[in-house]
Amino acid sequence: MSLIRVGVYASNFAEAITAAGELLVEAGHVKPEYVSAMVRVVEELGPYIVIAEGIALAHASPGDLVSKNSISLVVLENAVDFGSGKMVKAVFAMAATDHSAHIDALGELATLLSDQEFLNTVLNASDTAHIASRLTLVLGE
Amino acid sequence: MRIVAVCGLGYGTSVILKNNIEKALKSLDYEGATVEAVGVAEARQLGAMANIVVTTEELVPLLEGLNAEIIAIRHVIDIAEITKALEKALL
Repeated sequence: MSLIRVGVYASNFAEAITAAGELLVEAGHVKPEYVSAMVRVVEELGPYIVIAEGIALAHASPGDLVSKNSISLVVLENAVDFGSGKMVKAVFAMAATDHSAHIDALGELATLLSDQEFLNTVLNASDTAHIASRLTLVLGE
Repeated sequence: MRIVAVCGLGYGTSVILKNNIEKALKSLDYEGATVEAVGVAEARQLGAMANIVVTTEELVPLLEGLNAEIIAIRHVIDIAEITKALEKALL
């Protein structure tokens, strides 16, 4: 599962988001500019994308920079500060071709992350296979 | 009752927030509310017509001046937190 990577080193939020975004670039789902746009969102608006304790959902606006609806995940070696002391250990990067796309996957992800046990599984993941099976519905093929 | 869920872009965070607000309303047995997910820019226009604006802590300063009651949520994934805040605002 190439859309998940664990044990990733990042020294700040920009590197963490970029690491997650690069998985989407490598898969051919987004253009590199999409990754810098995701970083810019946090630079401009702050850490509001930290949707759960230790978890960020990075994304930019849907549109031309996206060729396929997709979500990737990196689990960091060490948590990094996304601003206001909000420490993040895992970053999901989401890309959608338009505003109505991918809503189901988003709902599925939200449901999964509201389960504390699953949250802990993601935050402490040391191998991709372990979390990949639970994320199949979210990440798609 | 018109509730607006706001995030930076009106996509992603606010969609999760909208889903969870709907779940919270259901658990409170509150009917007759519409919930929309929008971005900050749109919220500044729509907010004038909304009764309640729900957003994340960081975005509150960007929404100052709106007539609607503004509810700040720490984690949009946290349905218990959202339910508690809505209960206080609605009942």
